Amino acid sequence: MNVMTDPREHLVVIGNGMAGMRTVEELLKLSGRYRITVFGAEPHVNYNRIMLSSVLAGDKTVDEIVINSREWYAENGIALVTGDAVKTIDRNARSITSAGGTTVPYDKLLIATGSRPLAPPIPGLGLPGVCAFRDIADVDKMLASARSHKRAVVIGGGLLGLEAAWGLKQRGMSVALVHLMPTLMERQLDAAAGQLLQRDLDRRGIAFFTDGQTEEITGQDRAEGVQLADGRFIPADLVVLAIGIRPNIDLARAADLEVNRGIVVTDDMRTSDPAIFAVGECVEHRGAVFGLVAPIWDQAKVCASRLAGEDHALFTSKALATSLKITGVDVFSAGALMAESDNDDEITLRDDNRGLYKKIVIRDGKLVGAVLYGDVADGQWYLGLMRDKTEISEIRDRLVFGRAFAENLPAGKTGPDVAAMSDDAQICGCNGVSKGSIVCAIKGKGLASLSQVRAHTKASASCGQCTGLVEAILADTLGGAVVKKAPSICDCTEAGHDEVRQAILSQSLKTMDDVRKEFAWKKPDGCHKCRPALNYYLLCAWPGKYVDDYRSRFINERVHANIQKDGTYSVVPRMWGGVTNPSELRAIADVADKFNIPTVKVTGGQRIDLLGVKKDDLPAVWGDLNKAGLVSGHAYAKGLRTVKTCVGSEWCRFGTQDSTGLGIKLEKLMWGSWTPHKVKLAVSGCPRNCAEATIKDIGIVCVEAGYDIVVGGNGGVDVRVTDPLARVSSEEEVLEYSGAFLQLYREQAHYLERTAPWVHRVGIATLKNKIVEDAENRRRLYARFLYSQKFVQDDPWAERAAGADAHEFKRLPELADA
Amino acid sequence: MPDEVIWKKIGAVDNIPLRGARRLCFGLGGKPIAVFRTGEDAFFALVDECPHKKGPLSEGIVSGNSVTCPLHNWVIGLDNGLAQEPDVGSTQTVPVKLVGGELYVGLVLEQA
Repeated sequence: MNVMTDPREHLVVIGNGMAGMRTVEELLKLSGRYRITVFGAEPHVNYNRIMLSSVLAGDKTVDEIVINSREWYAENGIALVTGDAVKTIDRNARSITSAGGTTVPYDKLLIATGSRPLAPPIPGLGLPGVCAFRDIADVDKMLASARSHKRAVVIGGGLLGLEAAWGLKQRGMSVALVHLMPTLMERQLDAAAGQLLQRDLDRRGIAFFTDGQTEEITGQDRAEGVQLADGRFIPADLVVLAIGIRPNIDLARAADLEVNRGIVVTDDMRTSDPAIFAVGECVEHRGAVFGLVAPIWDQAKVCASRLAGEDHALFTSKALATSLKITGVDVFSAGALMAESDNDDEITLRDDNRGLYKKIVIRDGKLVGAVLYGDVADGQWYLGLMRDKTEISEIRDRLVFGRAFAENLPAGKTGPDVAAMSDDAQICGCNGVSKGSIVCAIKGKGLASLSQVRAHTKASASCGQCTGLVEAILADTLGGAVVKKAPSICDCTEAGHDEVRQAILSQSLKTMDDVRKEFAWKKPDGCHKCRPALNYYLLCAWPGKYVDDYRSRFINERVHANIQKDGTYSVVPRMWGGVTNPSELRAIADVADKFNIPTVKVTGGQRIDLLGVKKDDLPAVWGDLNKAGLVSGHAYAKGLRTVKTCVGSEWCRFGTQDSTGLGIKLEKLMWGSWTPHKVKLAVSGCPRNCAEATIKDIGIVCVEAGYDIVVGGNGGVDVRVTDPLARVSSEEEVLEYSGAFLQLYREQAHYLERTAPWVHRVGIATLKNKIVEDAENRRRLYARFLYSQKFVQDDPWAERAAGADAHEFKRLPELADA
Repeated sequence: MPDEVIWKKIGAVDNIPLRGARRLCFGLGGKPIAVFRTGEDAFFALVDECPHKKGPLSEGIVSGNSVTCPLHNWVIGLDNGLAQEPDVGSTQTVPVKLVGGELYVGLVLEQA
């Protein structure tokens, strides 16, 4: 374009960001009166800065967030100068000069310099590995770190900081977030909602350090950690500063325009110089500055209209809503966060179990604020009530329950009527999924749950805000026949026990990480509920191959003793079938003397319990017991505990079989095995049942004709008497049937489910079918049991007395500082 | 007069198992101290007593930034010592610092 011959006025735009370019777009729609030149400091074309968090999280590429390509600038006759920041404005000469030395005259000037990250004087801010979260260059730095390093600390628990933390987490880093205030997003959320948010993100594996004042970013050649003022220290390879933004006003101030926090503009978006306009995050309007996109779009419209010469457009601040771009976390906030005076009323609805929280603030019969957490479906409706200043006194008592209830819609209809929607109605904006394609997938593939619909259509799989709609469509399509999901293992996952056990086998999942990845666990580490369960399931599925993770075991199984209420331990050596001898008893007595063990007690399982052993003494106690041939009784284990016996035919005048000998054989067969919960056996020599075999997990009652095998009993709070499994005629059969039963229990029960509730749940008929009637299956079960036993029958006490896991039993001393 | 912090060296980070803890030979005001190491290699120290029944937290399962007390499954935040809802209570935190791969815990001596 020949500048000299273009007679139009020259509009120069400083800033190639969202606000400036939106204004230019709006202006192009209204008028062609300007020749336009745009200066951008970044080397890129105009892109959607809001979506940077999606780029970081891997949901979008940089190309996908470009708003206007270079072709667009060319097509619209706009001269674009990238990578060259404007340095000065000469208002008298009406010209600007760039860092590169270009001086350009203007007729009208638009300042859209945006904001810059707030950077307080923290030592170490200049270290490599420290960055802000503001532009593509920052995202590039963060992504590079995520590829080569492991630990990230984000400073700042506002919108931007949380999205940065989530993005880095998605990129596989371990992420800690430091926030100065006690609760997150305190400017958009009240304390209750902020805590729910923290809880949910904590479950997804982000570690929070609230009330955290950053004192220093430590490190020699690059960032190594963040030191907080209260002494806490967080190791880090990458530190992202996201504590806020400050309007970028240097240029305007140097040009003597009126500035305060931002560049001061009037309702027509003019600065104190009528030839100079300003829009976006750099402006201050009636005392307010702006960080969200909605009001900035309004500013762009007003500014464009004024530049085009119209004289009626005025900018007014409207009630604003905030939402967070973190998949599956639903947050909505608009207007007042809490009552600001006695005239204001707060109404709160809270359901901790479901993670729901709603608060509305009412002033003079009008809604002035809403904070929603967990279910944000009514957010836009509340926002509408606030913007329209609707009189709500009539529905005040129902308002907090949401639109459906407040407007008395038919029961169950929360939100739009999905049945009435057309098939091409867009349901999931993130993934462009229509109602028709969701219905089609549900019908065509026989989908029955939200997670299946998500997996097959991607609907509600990104931001999750349409989850309610997708659920409604699912319910509508299935006619209310939504399959209820089995309870999940724990809060880390939606997957149930059976689902996980099946997947471990069918998909050959070999490690806890494999399982957690497959089911998208919310916490990378899991929790105290799922870790022992997964460890057991893998151990059971892959005998001899899976390496036990002792850190995922309860303390008793980790140190092979039972913790007592005072922190000491009890030690129970195995007494096979309840039989002992003088040398064993002598060894027990000697140990009790030598280690000052305060209590020696006979247990209900026919053994001797040494109570009050100090943790440090355990290896030595075991060593002494081992010398007398005593081994661990696994009294601490989710595994075989005891086999209680009566004296049987060897001594008793009623005895029909050698119950003691059979008990010892069973104990020798089963000891060392890991099971979903503890397992106790008993063998009674006659139907008088002195060994109480009918309240044991597996009981054998000897009769003249052979052996009755009974299963699924226990004492305890809910006493359950066993169900009869089979009558057999030989000891060999007892071992095979009992071993097969134990293996089926090991393979199918849920972790921490004893045989009693398991047998009750699956039914004795099913068990008989699999163990008694199907002889081939019984033999296979028994063979699998024998195989897995090959890897576990080592005395854990002997291993530890010889030095294994020594760190478990020693305290850390203070060392001299070199 | 401000409280003085005495830093005590307790040795290399590898003495503490990943997702684990060690109790120290010395305590704070008669109470035991434990140092924790998370799966993400962050280090924390707490008085080794659950706010509930003084259970030894060092014996609990460490996951994320929390430890579960072995006695009654209270979940305690390693960073702030606070019991996770619905339980209420807190355990005193002890400052930890890492200098050249060596861990130190800070004991605050209250000035008279």
